[in-house]
Amino acid sequence: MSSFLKKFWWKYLCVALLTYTTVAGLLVSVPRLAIVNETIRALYFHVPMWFGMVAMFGFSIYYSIQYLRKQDSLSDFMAAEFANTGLLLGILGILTGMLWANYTWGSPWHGDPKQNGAAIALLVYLAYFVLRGSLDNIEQRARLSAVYNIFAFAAMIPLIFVIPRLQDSMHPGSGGNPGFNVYDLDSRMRLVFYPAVIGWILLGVWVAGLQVRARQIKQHLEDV
Amino acid sequence: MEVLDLLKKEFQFEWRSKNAVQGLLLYTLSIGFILYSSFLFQEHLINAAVWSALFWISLLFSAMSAVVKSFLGDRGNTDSYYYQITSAHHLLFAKTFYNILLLVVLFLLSMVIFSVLFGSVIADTGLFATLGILTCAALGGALTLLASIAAKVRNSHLIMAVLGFPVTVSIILMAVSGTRNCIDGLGLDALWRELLVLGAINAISLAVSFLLFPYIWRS
Repeated sequence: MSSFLKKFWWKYLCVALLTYTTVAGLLVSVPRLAIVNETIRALYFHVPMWFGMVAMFGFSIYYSIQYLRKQDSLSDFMAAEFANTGLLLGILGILTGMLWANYTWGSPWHGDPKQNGAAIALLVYLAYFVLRGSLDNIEQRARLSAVYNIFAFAAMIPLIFVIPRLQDSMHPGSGGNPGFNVYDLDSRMRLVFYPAVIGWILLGVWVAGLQVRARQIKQHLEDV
Repeated sequence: MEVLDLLKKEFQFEWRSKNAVQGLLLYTLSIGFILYSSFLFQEHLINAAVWSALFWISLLFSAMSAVVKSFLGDRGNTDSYYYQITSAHHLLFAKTFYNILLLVVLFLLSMVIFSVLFGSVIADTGLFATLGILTCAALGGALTLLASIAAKVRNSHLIMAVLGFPVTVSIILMAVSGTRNCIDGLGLDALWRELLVLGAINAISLAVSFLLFPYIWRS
C-alpha cells in the first residue's frame, strides 16, 4: 500500500486539487469589479487551460527532441499524446474563453491578439496530426513529425511571445485593463488559481500517460 | 564553394526546364488580375490596409507554389547521389538561398503588377524594398524546410499549405503592418519594430532548420 501511495501520490494530489478548485472556485468570495462581476471566476477555469496547454506542448517538444536523439517509439508516442492532450486543453481554453467573452466583451470572438495567437497554435498542432496521418512508414512518421513539432514551436515564439506585446489586448491584465495582480490585494484569488494550474497540468500528464499505454498495447497486439 | 556549385546546379536545372518558372510567373500574374477584377469599379475601397493584405496574401500563395517544388525534382535516385557527394547543410543552404532569390524575383514582379493594376501607392520605396527582402528571406527560410518535409508525403502540395500557413502567419502579419506604414510614408521610426521582428524570425528559422534538416535528409 505504501509503495502504491509513493508511486501514485500525484494522482491523489491531482484529484484533491481539482476538487478543491472546483468547489472553492465557485463558492469563495471574489473581488467585485465593474463589467467582469462574477465572471472573474473564469480565471479559475479558463486560464489554467492555457497553462496546461503550454505545459503539454512543452513536454511534447521535449519528447520530440528525445526522439531525434534516441529514435525510440516510446518518445514518439509521448510527443504525439502530449500534443493531443495539449490540443484538448487548448480547445477547452478557447471554448471557455468564448463563453466568457460573450458576457464581458459582448460577442464570443473579438479578434483579440491572444485569441488569434491561440487559434493559430491550435492550427499548428492540427497540421501536426494531418502530417502524422499522411505518412505510412512508422519510422518516417515519427521523425518528420518530430522535426515539424520543433520547427513549428520555434516559429510560434514570435507569434505568441512577441507580437501580442506589440499590440493591445482586451484581456484583463493587459492594455490598461485591470488584471488580478492590480486589484487582488489580499491574494485570495491566487490561493485557488495556482492549485488549479497544478491540478490541470497533473490531469494532462495523467491523460497523456493513459493514452501512451493504450498505444503501446495496440502496437504490441499488432506485433503479435 | 560546394554551396556555390549546388546553387549553380539549381539555376541550371531551372533554366533547362523553363516551364516551372513560366508557370510561376503566370500564376503570380493571374492572382494579381483576379484581385484586380474582383475590385473593378470599386477601386475606392482599396486603402492602405487592403492593399498590403492583398499584396502579401497573393505573394504567400505564389511563394508556397514556388518553394514546394524545390525538393520534388530530386525524387528517386538523385537523392542518394547527393547524399554521397555533399553534406546536408550545404544542400540546405543552396536550396534556401535559391528559394530566397526566387521569392525576391516574385516580390519584384508582384510589385510591378500591383503598381500597374492598383496604382503605385508606396510612399517609401527604399524601406518597402528592405521590408520585402527581409520578408522573402523569412518566408524562404521557413518554407524550404517545410518543403523538404512535404516532399516525403504523397499529397505534397496540400501538406505544404497545411504545414506552411500557421508557421508563416507571424511573418505575413509583420509584412502587412510594415507595408501599411510604408504606404503612409511614416519612415523608419514606425517600421523598425517590424524589421526587428522579421530579422529575429529569420535568425530563428535559419538556426532551427540548420539543426533539424540532417534528420529529414537521412531517410
